Amino acid sequence: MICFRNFLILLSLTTLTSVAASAEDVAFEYRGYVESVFNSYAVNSDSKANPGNRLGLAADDSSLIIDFSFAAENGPFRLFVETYARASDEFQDQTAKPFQQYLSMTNEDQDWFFRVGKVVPNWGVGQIWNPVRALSNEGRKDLIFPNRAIEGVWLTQAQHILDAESSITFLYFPMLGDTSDAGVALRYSSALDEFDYAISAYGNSSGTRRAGLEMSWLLGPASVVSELTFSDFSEAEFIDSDGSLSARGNDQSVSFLLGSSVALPQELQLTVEYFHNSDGFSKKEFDTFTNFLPANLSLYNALGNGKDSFYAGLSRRFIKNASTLGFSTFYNVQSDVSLLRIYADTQLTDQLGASLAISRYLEPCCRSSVNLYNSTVDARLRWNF
Amino acid sequence: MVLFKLICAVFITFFINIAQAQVPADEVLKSANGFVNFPSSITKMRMQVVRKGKVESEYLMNVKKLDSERMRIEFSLPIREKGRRILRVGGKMWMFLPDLGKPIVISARQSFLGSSFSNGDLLRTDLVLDYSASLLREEMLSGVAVQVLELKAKSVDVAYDRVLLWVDKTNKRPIRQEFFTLSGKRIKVMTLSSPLSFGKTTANSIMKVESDLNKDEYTVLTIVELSVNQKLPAALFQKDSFDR
Repeated sequence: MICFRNFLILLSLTTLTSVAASAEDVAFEYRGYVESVFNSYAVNSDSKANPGNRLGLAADDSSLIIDFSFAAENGPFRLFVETYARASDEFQDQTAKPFQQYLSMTNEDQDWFFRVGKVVPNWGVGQIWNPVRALSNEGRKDLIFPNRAIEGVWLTQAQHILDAESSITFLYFPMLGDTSDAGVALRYSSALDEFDYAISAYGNSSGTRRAGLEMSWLLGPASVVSELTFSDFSEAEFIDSDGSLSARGNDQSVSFLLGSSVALPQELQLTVEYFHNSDGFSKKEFDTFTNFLPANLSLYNALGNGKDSFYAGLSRRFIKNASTLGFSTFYNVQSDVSLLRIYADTQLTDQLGASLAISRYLEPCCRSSVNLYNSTVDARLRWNF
Repeated sequence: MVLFKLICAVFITFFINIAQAQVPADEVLKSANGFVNFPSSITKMRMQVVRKGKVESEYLMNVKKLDSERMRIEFSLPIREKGRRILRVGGKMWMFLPDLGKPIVISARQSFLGSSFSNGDLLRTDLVLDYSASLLREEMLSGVAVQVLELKAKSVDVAYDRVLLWVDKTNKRPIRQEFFTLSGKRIKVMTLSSPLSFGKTTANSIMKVESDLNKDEYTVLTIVELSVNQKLPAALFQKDSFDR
């Protein structure tokens, strides 16, 4: 009965958000997302399945997005599938593709871990940008969810946990048709007392070579993070924001990130990050990205190629309904575009949560060719099934 | 020579007395620790943050503890916290948020999700490892004969510099803790009650923390299930295993 009621709520909300999103000539652009998170079902003591690990329906002005994920485990084996389907152009064009799908396996001690499939390598320590994660193409961006902002890449992963603080990971990227290069990456993660670090290297068949360093440590009440990447693009092609390929030439580049997060009195949390990428970011790229930029923080990864970008976010946690109220701002020096965002997140019941974000892009004065929305409103409901 | 022997005798007697005085306090602390510290265990816990008598927020979490140095918390409710994980290895702690997809380092002194607990309160529960004890006094507390131990932090990583611990004199069960800052100011009081048996293990199933800084609020931590002697792979307690 409860499931049926939840289903009706899901259907109603999706319809409402779709209608709101399709409204034309409004000052705000609306996006809505309704998500159910299912509990896993134990088949027996050794196996369990999560048939609807997550089921989400999203709508923006002209498209409907359906997220579905599924996980099944049997002993050391795990199968995970996350699919992203989208009906756009007023539902005339329909596409469906897996965002992530992999088969993983671990041994009894779980110190060896293997994974084959389409995976997002979550390397890096920055919360907004991760220069060390630029291992391969970053794919298309999801419009709603930050952790699904990056489409996975096909790879084979082997990870070995060496001890309580050290691990080593090897990635192999196979060549897939004409659009990707075969490549390998290696990452060693460890710690020197209170100082966590990781070093990584990447190379592919087009000649791209990249070396990365990640660092994080506590400095009093603040956590400090830093990433540094040296790249030699050589003959490598890279994927533009519009999906086309272009050659970088033989230019070398360095990118780095410096950030900090500090807990302040009154349950306040301040996070700041500065990101520099000497490759820069063309106006076309930036405009294309910002056109698709949703009101969700981590999606500013999409602006990861911006030459100099700043981020500052201040949030406060409230005891009442485990709520959060936050304010953040983003500024890209080269484009002179800034973004302000206010968001709220609350727990309606222990099974139902809601979040709302309002973002406003502030464009530089008198620029005629910008293609930015004035404001967006993102609403999200998530509940336990 | 006689004077030298006399001085030696005085010193030896003095140190023996100190040692004799310390042994009972350490033993009491060790016994009390058995009620709050469970290696190789999985504990399902509920945390309620109460303000003016009303439950304002509630969390359900699985606490996996390998040993005194390694612990991992996984949240299952409320729904917006599902997938959040916290890991402690030694004096270091990390948090994993599914929307972020990677671990971020956090401080032991930070408040635990806005509750009266700090991260260190929940994740550092081995009093023997973190504190050295001395017997302060014996007294009656709510009709129970208790020993009051003074605990001093062994390192600066520990969340509180000084803790007073009230232990039931008969069964050595801890029933009250008071926490002090470096400046000597008391900042919170923890009351431990409702001992329950989970198999062969007895634990205080309810822990209530009241903050001196905010008299309107308190936090109650309830043990829903406790399973000890669990086989937990060490690799699970590694930040690079967070996303598995």
